[in-house]
Amino acid sequence: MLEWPAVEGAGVLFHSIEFLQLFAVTFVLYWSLKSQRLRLGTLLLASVYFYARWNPWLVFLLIFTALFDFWIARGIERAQSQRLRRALLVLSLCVSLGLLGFFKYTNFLLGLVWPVIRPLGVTSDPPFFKIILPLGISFYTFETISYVVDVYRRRIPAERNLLHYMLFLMFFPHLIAGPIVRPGDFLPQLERLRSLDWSRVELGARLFLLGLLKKAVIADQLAQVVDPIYAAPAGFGSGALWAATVAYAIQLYCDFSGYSDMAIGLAHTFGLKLPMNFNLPYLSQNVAEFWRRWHISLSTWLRDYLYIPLGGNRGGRLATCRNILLTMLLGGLWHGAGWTFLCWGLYHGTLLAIHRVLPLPRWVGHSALAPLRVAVTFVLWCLGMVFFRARSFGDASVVLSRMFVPTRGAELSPSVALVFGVIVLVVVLASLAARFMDLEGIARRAPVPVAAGALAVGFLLAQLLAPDTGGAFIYFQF
Amino acid sequence: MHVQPRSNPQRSAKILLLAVILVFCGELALGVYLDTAPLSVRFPEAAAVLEHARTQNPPPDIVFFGSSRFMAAIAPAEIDQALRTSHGGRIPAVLPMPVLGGDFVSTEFLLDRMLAEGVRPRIAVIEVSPDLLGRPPHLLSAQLERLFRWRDVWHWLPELFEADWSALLTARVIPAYHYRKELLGWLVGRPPPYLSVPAPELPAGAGPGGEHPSAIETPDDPTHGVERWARWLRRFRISERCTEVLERILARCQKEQIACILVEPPVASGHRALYGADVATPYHALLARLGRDYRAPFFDFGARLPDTSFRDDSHVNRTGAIRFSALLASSLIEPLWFGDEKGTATTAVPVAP
Repeated sequence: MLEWPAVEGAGVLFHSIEFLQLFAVTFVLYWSLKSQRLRLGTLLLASVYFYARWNPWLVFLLIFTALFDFWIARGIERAQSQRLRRALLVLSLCVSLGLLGFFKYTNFLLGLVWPVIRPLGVTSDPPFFKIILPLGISFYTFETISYVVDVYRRRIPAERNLLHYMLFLMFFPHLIAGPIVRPGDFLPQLERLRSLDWSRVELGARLFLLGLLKKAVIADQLAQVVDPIYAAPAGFGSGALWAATVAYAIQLYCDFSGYSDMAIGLAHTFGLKLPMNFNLPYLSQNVAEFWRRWHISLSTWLRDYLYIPLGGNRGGRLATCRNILLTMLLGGLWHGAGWTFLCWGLYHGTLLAIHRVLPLPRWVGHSALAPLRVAVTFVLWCLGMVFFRARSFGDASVVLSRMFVPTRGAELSPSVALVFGVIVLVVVLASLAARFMDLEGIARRAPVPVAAGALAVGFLLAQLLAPDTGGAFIYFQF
Repeated sequence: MHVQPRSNPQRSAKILLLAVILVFCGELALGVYLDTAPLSVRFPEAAAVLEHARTQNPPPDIVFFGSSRFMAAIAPAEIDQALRTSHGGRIPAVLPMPVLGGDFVSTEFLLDRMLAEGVRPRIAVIEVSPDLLGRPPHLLSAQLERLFRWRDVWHWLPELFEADWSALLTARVIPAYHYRKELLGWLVGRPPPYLSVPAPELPAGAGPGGEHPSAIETPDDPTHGVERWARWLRRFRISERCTEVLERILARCQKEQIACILVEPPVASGHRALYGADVATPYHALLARLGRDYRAPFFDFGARLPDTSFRDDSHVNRTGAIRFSALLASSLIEPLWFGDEKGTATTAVPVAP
């Protein structure tokens, strides 16, 4: 049986008291130091501690990855011959992808290989290795690959300062679940000594609070609906399965975008900027727009380092569709070593390819139909979520069949349905407000006591409404 | 949300400072508000126990105060049956009032409340053991959580810091987070979660397989917990504050003409072995003094049950509860209540009706 490699514990979560203590100490120390080298050293130490609290041994893997690619990139830059440059690039890719493959895909690949070698006389079941999946390996592997490839393409110079490079990879706000940072965006920020800018700290605090509310108040609450239903979908009726699937779509968004908001906010408090990762994806009017708004740092990475090198849209419709499918298939596999994730990637690749080649009548684009387009895009996304969330292909098919063929079974109680409805309404209204109102302008114009009061009330609410069962972020397992 | 940093650092600093002050004040206000909450908000177990004491008919003659050890060990039905078998007719009404994490602080609280509500038993049996009298009091954080108000926190500050300073900080500095379940339950009228979905009834073989974890009982292990207690008992010293509380309980009982009996519940052999001379000598000296000063006899049941009667080092299993309850009936309640025919125990206690 293929099993998902478990994440060992959760480490220091952003929404924990321990993290707040770590952050407070790091923040005070960072801004009280006058040397940039010491400040960055403080951040690196905090990052190492942050990761080591989850697993002290796997910090060495992270450090090895950083040192290896730092050295390789320097080698690529120094190399005179194109052949040597390419060889070093291939070596780096092999090591990075080899480590990712070993930790993430060993058991999956064994499961694929076994049926092939079985006719050769192998009678046993495929072995299952209990391999700990290093937190954030998918994220930092992509970051290090983009660095080496950019140096190889001469888009950026190789970094001279090891401390800077290690911090690029290990900076604790984005270390475990992104956003996937580009070296060209991040490394230059480490060059100059900054002075404490309270407006950035305030912005960071607001983003952190927004993420905290998304995670603790919405995502973790909705998990209480999603988890039991997806644990035994055969016992639930069509209504409950639709509700759980919609709930999971909202949970995943609030969990992951909440993490990203917190990460971006934390970086701001240190005077650093991380890229935006979400831009109201559930208000997208088609699947292509959706992928420009969802997990932006991954979508753009896949576009720049996979889709375009594959040929992008340069080789005609068929080749474009092939490239889209391949990119999304690998994007699905990046999320997890399992058939459900492959299927999820294939599903989205197909949707994107259809969107690309299928000419829609002009009336479909009428502005009055915008809400309908948003709804259709959201439902298509939700259907894909079934593969993303189900524990197995069998469970996914049970969920889908029960969603589409009205089936009796346990349903949500009226009180649970009411609370769920209120949460959905809050998310919809908040998204619409963010889309159509100038919230930043409102915050800027608000009197100081109102702005401070909003922050305080938000923080108190986040504490009060956090459920007991709140845990790790969903994307930690990727 | 795509936002650009804006440039008015002075305003931002003011906003952040004011927000921090507001959060601090909000937390403080919530903490004070919680201090005034009904007992059922922070300590529902005590509210239930007191309600039981108030409504029991006939009113309790003998009450038992203590911790989870007493809770596991006292089976009122077994005591009733044992007493009926040997005496028939009118037997004393027994009421167990132990609470999880119960110590002398919670006992004093329950005793005060019980008396204030007009419940006046003839005998109060109080659990004692070195584990309840040592310093730092290891169950104090439980009382901090559910009983203490700011003035109690101030009174117990050194012990609280010694016992668990992080619990002290979270309970008092961020009560909105620490007591979120209690606060929501109080405000809404029923405790969270509000989105729980019960597991459906599935036909055999349709579920995820295996029993629900809660349905699987862990096997008894009378050595479980010994290590933790060994660490705690390593530098044993009697807590003066705990002794003071115990003395207040005994004095109050004496004043109210309630006979007080101190009972050490049974523990497994591994746990008993931790009570070396450095623990036992001061402990027994204290109990002897209390016995003299307050006429509170001490019954030691510590070594009365074999290890097979325990589910961990200090809590009895079902078999242990039956045996201990029978022991209580025969060696403690019968002589006290019906007169000591053999003349072997605590005749000094005037409890017979």
